[in-house]
Amino acid sequence: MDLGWRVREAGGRLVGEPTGRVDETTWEAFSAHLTAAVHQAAAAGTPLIIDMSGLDYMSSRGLRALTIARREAGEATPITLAAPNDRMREIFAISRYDKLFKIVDDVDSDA
Amino acid sequence: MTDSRSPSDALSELDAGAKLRVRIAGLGAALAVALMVLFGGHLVRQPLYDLFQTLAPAPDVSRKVHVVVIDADSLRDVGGWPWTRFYLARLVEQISERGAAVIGFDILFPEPDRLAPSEFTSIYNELPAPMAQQIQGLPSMDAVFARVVGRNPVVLARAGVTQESFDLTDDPTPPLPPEAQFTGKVPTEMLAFPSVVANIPLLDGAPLGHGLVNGDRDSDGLVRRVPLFAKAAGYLTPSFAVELVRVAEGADQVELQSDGRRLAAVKVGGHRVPAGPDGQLLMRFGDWRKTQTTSAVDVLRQGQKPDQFKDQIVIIGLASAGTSDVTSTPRASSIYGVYVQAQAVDAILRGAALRRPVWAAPIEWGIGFSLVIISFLGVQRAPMALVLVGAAAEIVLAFGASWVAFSHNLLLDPFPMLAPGAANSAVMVALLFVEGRRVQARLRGALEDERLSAARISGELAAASEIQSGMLLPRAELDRVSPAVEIDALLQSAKTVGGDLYDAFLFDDGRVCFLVGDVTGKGVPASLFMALSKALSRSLLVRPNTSLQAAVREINAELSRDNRQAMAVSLLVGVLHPDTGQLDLCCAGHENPLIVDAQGVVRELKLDGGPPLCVDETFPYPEEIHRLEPGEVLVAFTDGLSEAQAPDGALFSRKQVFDALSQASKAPTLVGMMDSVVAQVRAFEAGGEPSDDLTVMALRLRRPA
Repeated sequence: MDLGWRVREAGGRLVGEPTGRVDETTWEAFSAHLTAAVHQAAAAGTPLIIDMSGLDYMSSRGLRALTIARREAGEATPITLAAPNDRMREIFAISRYDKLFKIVDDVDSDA
Repeated sequence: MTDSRSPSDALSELDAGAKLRVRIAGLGAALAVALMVLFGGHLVRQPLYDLFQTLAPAPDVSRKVHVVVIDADSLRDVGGWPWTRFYLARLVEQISERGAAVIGFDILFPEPDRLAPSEFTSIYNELPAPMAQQIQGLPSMDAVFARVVGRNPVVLARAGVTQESFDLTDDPTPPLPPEAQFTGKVPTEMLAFPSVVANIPLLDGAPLGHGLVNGDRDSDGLVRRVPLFAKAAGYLTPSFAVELVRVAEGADQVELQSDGRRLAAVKVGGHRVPAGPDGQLLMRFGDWRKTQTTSAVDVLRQGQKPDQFKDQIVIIGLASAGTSDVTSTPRASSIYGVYVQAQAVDAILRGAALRRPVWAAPIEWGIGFSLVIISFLGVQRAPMALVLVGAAAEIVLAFGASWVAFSHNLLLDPFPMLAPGAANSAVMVALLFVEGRRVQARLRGALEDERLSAARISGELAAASEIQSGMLLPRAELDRVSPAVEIDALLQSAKTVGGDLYDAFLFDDGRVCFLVGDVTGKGVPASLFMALSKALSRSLLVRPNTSLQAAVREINAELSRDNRQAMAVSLLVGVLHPDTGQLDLCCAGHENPLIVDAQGVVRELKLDGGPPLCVDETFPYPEEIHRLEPGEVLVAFTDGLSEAQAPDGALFSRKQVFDALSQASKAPTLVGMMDSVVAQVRAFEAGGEPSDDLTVMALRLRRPA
């Protein structure tokens, strides 16, 4: 299964846009992209938004990648997860990652 | 990869470069062989036609042709060769009286008779003059023979002499012009002899016709063709056989018939025989021994029937040991020349000679080209057996067609049809085999690697599975944990071993502590982390005077320490007070537990909780208080249940989880209920390989005895 990744800057924020699935075969790429984006955002001093709308599914490996990214980012670079689908939202709810990350409905809803 | 493969299977696995190499080599081979056939084809074609001479011989020489041989019996009874011409004159008279249409001598008379009177007197010069004069006055036997030749239908021979021949004399006297008149277009290329060996003038002017007896051997020493006419000493001269037929038919003319630009046939009297463009007759030989033959001595004895030679073409020739007129044909390694002449005459009478039709070459090369195309496209796709059967069929058909054509006097060459396609097939099959072997070797290597890594993984997984199951309490012991609480749990490892865990133990005051967890990741690292999590959890939870939430926070802090792999574990920990039914719960990123009441109604215990352990080492996990009523079953589980997958990819939905539990709650025992839940999940998966461990745990207050 393929994983796409794009990064753009919008309104003083860095937006990462993964697409596809994060599972056993793609989580390492996802994690690498995520970490790189964290470093980029930290260097620019901007918050990082991950646009989850293009992701169909994320296994616990993806959660692990988010954990690593959160550690890399620390307090200085807040990470927001935007527009997850229902399934992803359920995963975040069960794993209580919604307590670790700010989750918003829309990429542009909260700068 | 274990069964044998045809080259076509292999081709599909070849890369583009290898395919191109195979194809170019195949076409290159076809082209090379086509050129070889074009320029060296006679090397294989001629032996094939020679074989057909034996397989499909010409019919026996007809009764119209009669050979009179001066054989061993004749030499014994009449005398050694050369005979005096007196006997030859008598031979002619005897044959002619018995009705011969024509008599041909396949013998040359370039010297005067050895018994000429002048010769005799020049040897015996002691003879008295009057006697010598008297002897010289006797008529020479040459004169006698010439008179007989002149009175009867006789054809004499003439031999063309090539520039290199020892028979070529320095000052040849030109021979008499031949009698036959030629009409039609004379071909530009034909046999030409600068000079001829002719008979002595006294004889040469006497017969009705003259013909060339040349029947030259090919470079391998075999006679395959005789000229029908040739240029000899400046004259267009008929061959001996043609002249015999002309005189027998009483015709004046020999007609050369062209087919467009080239000579196609020669017509003599009522007979038309195909000719090569150079005026030669390609012989199809029969069995020369079946030719009608009479010994000369029998003719001279006059014991013959009066119609012995009636209307026949009679050829007189030498056929005894020591005569020089012995030659070879594809059918006979030694044959008297007179029999080759007899067969040539018979071929003219039958109008049958081997010929190469004008359409032969286009047809042959057209078929050859088609077969190259078929081979080129077929070999890549068809299985090996079909290629072989096809090749065998092509060979049989081409050679069979050539044979059938030969028996109809047509020369069809199977080699241009077969050789280019065969070369293409052979080279492509061989290269496909070689390239296929290379691909197979590569695949075998990959398979070997895969097996090695599979073996390594399976060993690792077996170890992981052992670690996992060794850490867990068996079901029977779970039931004995508490006298007041029924506990059951079921953990089924996935093939790749997740890191599921469960535990249950009793506090001194009768409370029951239980937990269900799931380590992220699979294999040995996950199972080791699971073992660590379980041991650490038990040791921290079991301490007296520590609240549940404090214990969980400590477990989190301890597990987070030195956790470089960033592994995480979701955990649901609960403490059940059997006397009151109070349920203290702490959830770290785990699925909420469910409660099934005595009527089978299922509800979810919504917990606030926090993220999995090791994600945030300082997270303040809350402790949440609920209540388990008598008769209610608390069910905790891992994602092996909630994320079970059907073969079509569908997930076990929340409603299905609820329904499965409701259904299972009808079982009389807690063990039966858990078994039923797992059975329903496996039924949903329908034999598919579970991707994760499946754990379910259930607790129920025992009814007071």
